[in-house]
Amino acid sequence: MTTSDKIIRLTFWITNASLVLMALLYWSNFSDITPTWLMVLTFVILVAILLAFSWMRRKWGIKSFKGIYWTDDERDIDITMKVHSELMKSSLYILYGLLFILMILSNQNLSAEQVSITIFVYVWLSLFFENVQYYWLWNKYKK
Amino acid sequence: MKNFIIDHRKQKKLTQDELAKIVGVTRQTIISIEKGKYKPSLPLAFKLARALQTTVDELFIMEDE
Repeated sequence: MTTSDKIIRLTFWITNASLVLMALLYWSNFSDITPTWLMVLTFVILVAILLAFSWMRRKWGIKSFKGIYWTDDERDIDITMKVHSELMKSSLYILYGLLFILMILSNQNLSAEQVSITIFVYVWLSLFFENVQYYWLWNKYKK
Repeated sequence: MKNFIIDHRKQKKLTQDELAKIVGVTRQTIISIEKGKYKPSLPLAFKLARALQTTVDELFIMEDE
């Protein structure tokens, strides 16, 4: 397993963990008793994740190319470019989807809270989908 | 594009890992190039040729040639 493979796997799980924590934080806003411990815990975990990520980058000597990390050599750069190209397409579709959802929501007389929840869920699912897509495409092109 | 890296590498008694280290890429990249899955850049092709003490022409040929 190359360094780039390791960092891709690490990033995949860190992003998943961060998304779950963000969902917990968002959910905590709606619970009757504000779980302060949850917010503190989430903040501590997010900081720990960022520190661990920074330490790993230095430990593994991760190189970067034009601001894109985990590129051990020119083939990795090639794979990264292909993956990013696919992700840009997905992001565009996601934005069109968001426009479509906003058009539908604007005619439903929903409360601000309902609109906020819908948009949060949509963005959360989009980020989760893109994270999975990144990992899947990287492994597909790496073979 | 076809390449003869395996033949030249074996002639020089180099492993994929050793060749990868000489030219500054990962072993996976050498495997991909040897299998014809990845087409190296011109600078890498020259590095490979230099490492295997041959020319780019000897290492790579176009399929229709």
